[in-house]
Amino acid sequence: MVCKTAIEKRISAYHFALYDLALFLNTHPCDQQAMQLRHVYKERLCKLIDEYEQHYGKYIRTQDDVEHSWSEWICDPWPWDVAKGDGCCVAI
Amino acid sequence: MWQYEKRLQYPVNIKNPNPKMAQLIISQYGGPDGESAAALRYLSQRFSMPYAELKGILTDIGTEELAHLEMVGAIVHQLTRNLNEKQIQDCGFAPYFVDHTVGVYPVAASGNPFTAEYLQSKGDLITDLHEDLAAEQKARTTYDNLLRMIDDPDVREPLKFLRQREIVHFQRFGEGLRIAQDRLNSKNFYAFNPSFD
Repeated sequence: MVCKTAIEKRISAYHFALYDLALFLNTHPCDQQAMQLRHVYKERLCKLIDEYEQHYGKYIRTQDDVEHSWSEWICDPWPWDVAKGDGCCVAI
Repeated sequence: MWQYEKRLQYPVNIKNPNPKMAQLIISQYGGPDGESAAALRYLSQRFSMPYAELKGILTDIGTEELAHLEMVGAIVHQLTRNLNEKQIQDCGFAPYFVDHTVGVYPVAASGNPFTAEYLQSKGDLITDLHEDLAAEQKARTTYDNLLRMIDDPDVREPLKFLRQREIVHFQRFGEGLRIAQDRLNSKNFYAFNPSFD
């Protein structure tokens, strides 16, 4: 089974690549190669999210992803919290 | 309209608090060349931009700057966790602590609070795009200066990512300026405002 952090990192990398291509397309709106690459990355991202959800439950990125309980959204960690495992999650 | 994504654009996981570093890095939160000024500058300039490509880059880059603001806030927050009184006093962090405890407040490393005087929205595309190009380089220089003083790889990695993004934005704004100038009359290459004249 793929480690949760590793798959999250790959998902994040594809989100970034898609965003950076979008930024490029703003000034090169007719670039077919960049559009094609966006399609390829979108498909790979969908597969990765499927893989994540098979093992770890719903992938929550925005409020639209919440399915059952709102605690799926508000639960820790929030993005600025330190990753668990280093024993440093407590604020002053 | 915006929708929040519950993630950072690039991960921030800092193991060792360092209030001295936090006090320098906070300049990219609320300082003269920081991410607050960047987001406000681009998201405000959009409204008077005459060309579609420019509305596109200002919207996306302005939005990305908000994501960078969140990353810088996360860095400052994680560098100021679990401090004891001695650390607060020894690191020169006491003046900030008195005013804000460990809350993240938009302020420059020099202590000046954030002000809209750090940015301009002139309603003239040539003027605004030159300001944007300069702003990206000033932010890049600030990240370079921070990286000169910081050894901790947990802090360096997200700062290096942010520095790199300034360079990408400079490239996109340069293309935006080229697109704008290609559409202007050659006699008015540097001084013509199609949204007003």
